[in-house]
Amino acid sequence: MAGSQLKKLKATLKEHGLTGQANIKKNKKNTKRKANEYDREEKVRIINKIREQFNPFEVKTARDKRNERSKTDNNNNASNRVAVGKPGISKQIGEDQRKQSYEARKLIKNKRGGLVDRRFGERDKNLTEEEKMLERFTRERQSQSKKKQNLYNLDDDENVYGDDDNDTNPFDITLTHGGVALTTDNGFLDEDNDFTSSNKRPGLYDDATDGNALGNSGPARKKTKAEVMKEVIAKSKHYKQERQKTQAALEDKIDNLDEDFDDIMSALMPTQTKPKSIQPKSDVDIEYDTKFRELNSDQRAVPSERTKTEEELKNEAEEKKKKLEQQRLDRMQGMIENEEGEERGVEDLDDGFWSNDDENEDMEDELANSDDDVNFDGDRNDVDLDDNDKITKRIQSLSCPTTHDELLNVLESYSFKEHPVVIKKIIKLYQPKLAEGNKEKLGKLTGILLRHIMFISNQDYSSFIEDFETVTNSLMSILKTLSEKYNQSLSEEARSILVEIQEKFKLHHFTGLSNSDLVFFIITGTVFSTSDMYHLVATPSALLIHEILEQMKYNTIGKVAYGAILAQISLKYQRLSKRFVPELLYFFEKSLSTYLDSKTIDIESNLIFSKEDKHILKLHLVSHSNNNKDTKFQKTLILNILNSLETAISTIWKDLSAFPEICTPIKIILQNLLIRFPTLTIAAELVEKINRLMKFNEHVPLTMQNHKPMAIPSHAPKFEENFNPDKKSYDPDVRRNEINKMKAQLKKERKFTMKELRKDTRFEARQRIDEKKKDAEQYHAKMAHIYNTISTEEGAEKNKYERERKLRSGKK
Amino acid sequence: MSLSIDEIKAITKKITSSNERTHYNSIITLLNEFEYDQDTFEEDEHLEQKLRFLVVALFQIFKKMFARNDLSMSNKRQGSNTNTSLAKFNEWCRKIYNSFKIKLLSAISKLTIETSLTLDCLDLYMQLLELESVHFASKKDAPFFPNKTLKALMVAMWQSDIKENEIDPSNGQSANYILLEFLEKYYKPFVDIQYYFQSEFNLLLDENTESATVDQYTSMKSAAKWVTLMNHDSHLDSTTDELEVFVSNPPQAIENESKFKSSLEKNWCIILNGELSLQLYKTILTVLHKRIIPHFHTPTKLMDFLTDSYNLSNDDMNQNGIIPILALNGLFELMVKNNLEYPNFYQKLYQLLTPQLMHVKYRPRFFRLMDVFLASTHVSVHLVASFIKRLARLCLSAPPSAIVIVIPFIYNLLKKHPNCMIMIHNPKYLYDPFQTPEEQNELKLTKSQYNDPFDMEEQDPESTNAFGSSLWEMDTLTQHYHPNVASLAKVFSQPFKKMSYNMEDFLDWGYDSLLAAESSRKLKILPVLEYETFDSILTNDTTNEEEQVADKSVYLSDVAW
Repeated sequence: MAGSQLKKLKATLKEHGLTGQANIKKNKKNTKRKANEYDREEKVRIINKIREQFNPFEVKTARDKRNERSKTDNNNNASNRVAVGKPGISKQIGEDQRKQSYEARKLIKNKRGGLVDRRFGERDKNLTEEEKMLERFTRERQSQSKKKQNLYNLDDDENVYGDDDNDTNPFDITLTHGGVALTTDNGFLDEDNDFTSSNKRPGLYDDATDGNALGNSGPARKKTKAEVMKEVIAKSKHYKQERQKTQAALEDKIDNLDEDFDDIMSALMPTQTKPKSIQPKSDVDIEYDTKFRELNSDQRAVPSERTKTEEELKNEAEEKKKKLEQQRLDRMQGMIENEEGEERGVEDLDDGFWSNDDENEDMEDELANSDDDVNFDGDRNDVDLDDNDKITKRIQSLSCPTTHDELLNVLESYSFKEHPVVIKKIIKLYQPKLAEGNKEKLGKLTGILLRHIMFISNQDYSSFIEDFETVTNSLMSILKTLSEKYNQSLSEEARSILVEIQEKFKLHHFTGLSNSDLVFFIITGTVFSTSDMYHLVATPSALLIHEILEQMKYNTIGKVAYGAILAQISLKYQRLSKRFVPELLYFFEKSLSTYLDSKTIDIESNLIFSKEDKHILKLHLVSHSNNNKDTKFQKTLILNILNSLETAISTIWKDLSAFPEICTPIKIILQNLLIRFPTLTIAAELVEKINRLMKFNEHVPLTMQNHKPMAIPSHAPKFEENFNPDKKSYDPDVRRNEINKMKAQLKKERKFTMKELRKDTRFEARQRIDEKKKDAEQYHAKMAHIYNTISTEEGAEKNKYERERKLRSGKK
Repeated sequence: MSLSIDEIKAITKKITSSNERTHYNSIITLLNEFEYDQDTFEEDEHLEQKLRFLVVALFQIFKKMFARNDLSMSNKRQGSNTNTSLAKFNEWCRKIYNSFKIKLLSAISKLTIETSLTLDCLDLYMQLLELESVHFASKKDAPFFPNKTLKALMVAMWQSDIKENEIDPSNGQSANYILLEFLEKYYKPFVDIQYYFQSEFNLLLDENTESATVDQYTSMKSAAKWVTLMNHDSHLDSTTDELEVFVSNPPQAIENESKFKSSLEKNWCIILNGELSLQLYKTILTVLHKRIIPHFHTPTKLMDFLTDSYNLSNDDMNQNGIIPILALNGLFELMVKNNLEYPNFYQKLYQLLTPQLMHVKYRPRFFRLMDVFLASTHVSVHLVASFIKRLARLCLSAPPSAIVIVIPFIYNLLKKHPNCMIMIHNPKYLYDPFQTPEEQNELKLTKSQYNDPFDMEEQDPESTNAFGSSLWEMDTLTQHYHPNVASLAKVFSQPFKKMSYNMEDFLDWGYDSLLAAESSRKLKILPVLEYETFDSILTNDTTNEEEQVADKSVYLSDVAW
């Protein structure tokens, strides 16, 4: 259809017979009036349609999905689109509605009455709750006193006799309705009024009904059931009140009688009892009293815990051990659990740290109270009890040593044997429960004790080994006991000692080391759990041991002996966890080959070994060694090394998959040793053992990469068996289906509401801007008007002046 | 020793203040004064002070004489007939000047104790050298460098010997304090001194070879001194321009870099052919690729030296087993930059993998190079397998710091040569629960028949049969005592998802750094205590064994107090 929009419109109108020749005669006659009415509606409809057609933007359309085929039939795009809404119109409607509601709101703004809270102090933020209450109370009192004043007010005689319940109206303004007083809130400041009045209302109603029923001679109507019930209740209440009143009266009488009783009795009895004079208590009485009090304050006999049988105790201990073992195993696997109290660290400070601390305190109290910690070798203590007392007396004046030197000063005056006793006494004197700060002191002492044991092991004790051993052992057991309580400080001390040893070794190599370092490693092994996968003290300590083992050059017997002991310690560290230590293998290779190679160390070429030769190394001989030539020491040393080699093979290495690889070099060395020293039977045994174990060791290629094959993600197309376009969900679960439906609905609703709210706010903002503009315009107009008037007035005056002047000048 | 300080002062003043030359004779008395005996020298503090004063005074006198042209040669050349008396006088002056120089040099060369006097002598001598360069020039302002004077100083320095402190034990270099002073103050900062030093030293060495009487300059001590002078980074070079000249007007020749390089090269070659101590040898090899090769004209001259070093047998690690490892670096430099071809290189490299390698401190250096050599994907699988297997085997007695290098190294090799994966995973030996009994029997049979074919003793990496072996060593290392090493070793049983490890992260660990990492850890969780108790920590040697085992628990049962 060609032509402009206007032409098109004309054509359409004509087509529908709306323009052009309107009255065709034949029509006029047939249907004159009827058709007219029908026509008008029809006409409106048609016009609307045409309007729509010509204003395509008014209508929102969507593709017609139902009749998809129609699209293919005819290519006319408009025809297969369906009108779904008229956004312009709906927007206009929304706008109108908003406007209406906005106007309505604006009208009543600042005009609506509300309840004003006039209670005293309710809006004053400076007053506290208590002050408010106090003020209200005083006001209440004042108002009441006003009422009291009214007592003597001659004007209102009504309230004087009225019962107290009814004193709500001090101003004596009573409104009545139908002869019945209406008590309303008339704005008096008494906050109780609200309550009383509201309380009154049901009563009022009651009265009214009663009044209606009794007084009012209205037409007697049949009472409803509720009214009857109310009446009954009211009556029973009335009777009850009556009964209570009589009861109260009776009680009053009885009370009065009671009060008078004494008088009556005094009147009856002529003689009075003497007032008691204060007599000094007799000794017996005092004794009795004290006895009594003592007995009173004595602890009642409490059923003690049942003495457990030996078997039970044993079981308990076993169970505890099992639990500890389980924990140890977990740690060995590297699973760290934090729930256990003993592993509580700084991280857990906030959750119940203090309670935990209390527990500790309790435990320490136990330590002190039970005394078994201090006296665990009590039999010996009893023997030299006198000594003990003497020591105690002397120590009493001493302060807890804070450095090792101080401890040495303290110990100086005692014989070596007494040292453990002295230290125990010090610990006992500084129990944490005895004074504040003792805990820290004892913590420090723990570290000092560790250093002391190291210190004494460095001394020359070869002349009194027996005593030395007992003393060290008892010192060790003290340290062990202390370590449970002062783990923190002991660990810190141990770690600092580790650093010291490392420094020494780095600077002076072997010469920097001494027996005390060996002793330190041993103590670490006995005190700390060395089987853990990771341990803050044991791991660095093991590292250091192995560093020394690896970096030492084994060119003197002394060094080999030192290494032998380190190897022993290392083996002990791994006795439970059975981990592989390459440095140990290195040590065995190196140390044993020193026995083969007479170049580096001077070793007797024909050592004869017999059964009597022991493999136990003596620690004091290791350091004070001039033993390069001592054949006996050499023999002991090699036996010791072979012994630890045997331990390593039979406990740790035999389970490793690389057992043959590890043992091959060792075997060669052992065979060479046998050639050199044919009497060294233990070497032969070892070779035998290695051969035997090698046979058992399953040495097949590894299959380390045997992982579960990885799944390839499969994305099969989703196909619905019985597809239905109307069905929204194929969920078989009805409940879930419902829930989902509800959720979807909710979401939709929420979206809609949000949209509306946004529109509202936008509208409001627009409106406000409009208003402001209007205001500004008004203001400007007003100002312009004022200016204009002023200027006109001015102009008029000026003209007037000019005229006057002219006039005057004219006169002249 | 007759003159006191005051007297010396007086004489000096007389000579220097007046313009007259009447007092010159007393210079000789002063010169004669410069006599000392080393033994008395050590005892008498006062003497040293006096001698220092004397030397400085003499220096002042000669400086004055230089200023007065008493020493200049120019007079002589103008014609002996005109002014014979003056010429004679000049000659006499030069004679006493020479004797002064000789005294200074003798102080440098003869004193065997460390004293600041010799350092003063050195300083004064160098100042005289500067004066000479000005006054002994053929014409005024003509370029001149008194190389003879420098040579005399060099001879003196090479003669100097402070007995026990001469050699630094850590690196075998000379620790002679005069030499160090010379190096720091004169050799390093000044181009001309470097240049003339090299050429004069070259002459000295030539004379040495010609005479062949005393091999003074190829001895160990000489080499030590030489290396001390050479082992730094401020050599004459076309690229470095911050170096200065010492004398005011040196000849143009000093800018001839190629001459400098060739004489340096020659000197090095002669020194390397001479005697070297083991420590010095190591030092030279460690700095070779950085500080020596760049200054050579033709670095290929070092080829023989390096290949010889590389071929040294490494049987005895304590002596010179480390040498081939160190030589590898220089050799690599030559191979890359100078097309050096080395036959059977990989075989030799394979032989370098010895147990001792894991314990030396040059380990990271070696592994860096190994990483380069084995980076090629075109080497044979058998060769790679041999390297992997041997490294793994060495780990069994290696410190953790070496193990943490080897594990990622092997991982990278396995990643690069996936054929070698069979060494950690051989599907033939996989146990499958769904196998039929026949198959299971067969598996059992193959398992029982399996024998590790790897030959650790074989020297040729192509024929060690490592490919048929398996890395049990790595499996064992998952049981390593150090938790980090153990978890690192577990990569071989995990899927190989990581591309490759960056070797630099693993090369420079040591016990120190491991322990430092431990000690820096905070005590967050209290260390767990051992719940087991021991009655005694060491055995009682005296009691009978059976008895004590019965009633007491002992921690270390094989050690007694």
